[in-house]
Amino acid sequence: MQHRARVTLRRTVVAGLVAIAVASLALIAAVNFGRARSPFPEPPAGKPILHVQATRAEPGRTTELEAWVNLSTGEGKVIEHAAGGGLQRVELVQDGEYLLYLADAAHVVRWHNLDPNSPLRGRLLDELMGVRLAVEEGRAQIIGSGTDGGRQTVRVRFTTAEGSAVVATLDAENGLIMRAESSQGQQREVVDITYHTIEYLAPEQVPPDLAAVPIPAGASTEEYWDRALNTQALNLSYDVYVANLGSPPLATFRRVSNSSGVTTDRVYVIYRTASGEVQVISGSGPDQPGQMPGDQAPGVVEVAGTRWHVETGPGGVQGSARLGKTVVTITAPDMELFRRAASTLRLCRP
Amino acid sequence: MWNILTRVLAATTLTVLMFAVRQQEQTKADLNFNGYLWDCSPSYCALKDPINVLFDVNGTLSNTLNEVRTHLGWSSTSGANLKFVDHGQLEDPQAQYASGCTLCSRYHARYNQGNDNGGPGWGIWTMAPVHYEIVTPCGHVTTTFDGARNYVKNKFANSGHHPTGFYWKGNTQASQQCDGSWVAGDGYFAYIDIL
Repeated sequence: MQHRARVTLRRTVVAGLVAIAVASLALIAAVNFGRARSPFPEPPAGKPILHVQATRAEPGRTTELEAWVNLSTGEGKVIEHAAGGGLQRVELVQDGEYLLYLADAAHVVRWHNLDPNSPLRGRLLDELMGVRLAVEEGRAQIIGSGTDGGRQTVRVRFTTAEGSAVVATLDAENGLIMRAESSQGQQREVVDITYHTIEYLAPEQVPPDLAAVPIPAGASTEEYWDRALNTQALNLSYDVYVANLGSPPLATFRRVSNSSGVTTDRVYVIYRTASGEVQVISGSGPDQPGQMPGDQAPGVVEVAGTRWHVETGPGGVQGSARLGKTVVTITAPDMELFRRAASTLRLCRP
Repeated sequence: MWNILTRVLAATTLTVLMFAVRQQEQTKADLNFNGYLWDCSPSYCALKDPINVLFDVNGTLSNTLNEVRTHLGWSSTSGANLKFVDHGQLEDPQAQYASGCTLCSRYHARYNQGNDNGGPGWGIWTMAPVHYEIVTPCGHVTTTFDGARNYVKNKFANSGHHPTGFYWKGNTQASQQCDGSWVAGDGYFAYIDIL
């Protein structure tokens, strides 16, 4: 009896050990296989920052690019100049913020308080490494290899989300795009990128003023805050309204200052419903005009004692009302949802 | 005496100016187009770009595109077939022009000529939702409507041949981009006189 129990125990232990070993091997294989699927080498240890200087030639336009991008975090900066000319674009990702400065428009876009999953955090990686990432994620297929200017290359094919067929040539050493040919219908475009500098840097090797962006005093700014309802310090001149539509809202705060220093802002609270999206927009005005959307003249709809100027268009219903010091605009895919949103409006208190 | 005369003159000037502005705005308000582009399936239209530039006076599509090539240096491109709404009718873009290639960050706009003459305030007009877009794994993502509109307006204004200004349309709704982000315009379109 004791012998049988010992044998059973021994078998159980052996089976357990085998199971653990198999699981471990599978895990190691999965991790290594996952890594092995990337045909591009990792950056040198301790030097996660890719620094490039390049010339990009496309039909009718040539630009000079310089970029520093931390391949681990996605943080960094891209600067674009017109060939032999002035600054055109600066993009900066740092400390949970995204900045785009369009020098030729004298306009700045800033996103603050970025959601941890915000795609803007990976924006610079997309700019430099978008095709390499597509290969590693299986969205692009390797169709060949070769050499270009003495460098080993990988040829890749993919289709963009908008339907353009693209064949790209990547540097096999790092995955940087050297050439891309895209075609859609009769239109065909070729972009060539020539790199003058490709180096990996340690964090202490990047310029100390990397985060500085030369924005002139008269530039207009457009700022967004992710997760705006959790932000305590919006300091608004109006109230923020929310509706109760049975789903958690997504909120974005937007503030615009034009070159004359005039500032307008609005809080967008957006709900997803089975019928489509509903927006509750709070601001200080001006009121919505009479001629939109579409042909129909605005009507007046009374909901819970409030008179709403309501219009219909191809996307549904839009109505505005002044509630105290706030102009509230509600957009909804149909009148029923508009009424539900309007009847459940309440002040938002963070 | 001079003081009274100055005040009367100032008041008269102000009244005339306000009347002129009011008259112009009343005439301009007659334009009847929807403030957004729409991405339409058979059952539903999703809101996209706000229409933020209007080429007026002699703004036929052909004249507009000539001026766009001359002052902006943009060239013909392709893009999604989003719909305009003119007098309640869904209409396709008649042209698309951009400052850069399909795989590049760039300014981009679709164009559609209005279905009627907008009267003495507007004349023949073509509308354009202008934006600046970046390339992402899901496709082009607009990062600003206002910045792109200001860029186009300033380029034409600085040429010295095109009077420009802003007009309140109220198209402030945010549109969701393919990467999940939301971007909105400030509700004004820039008008650019094509003379």
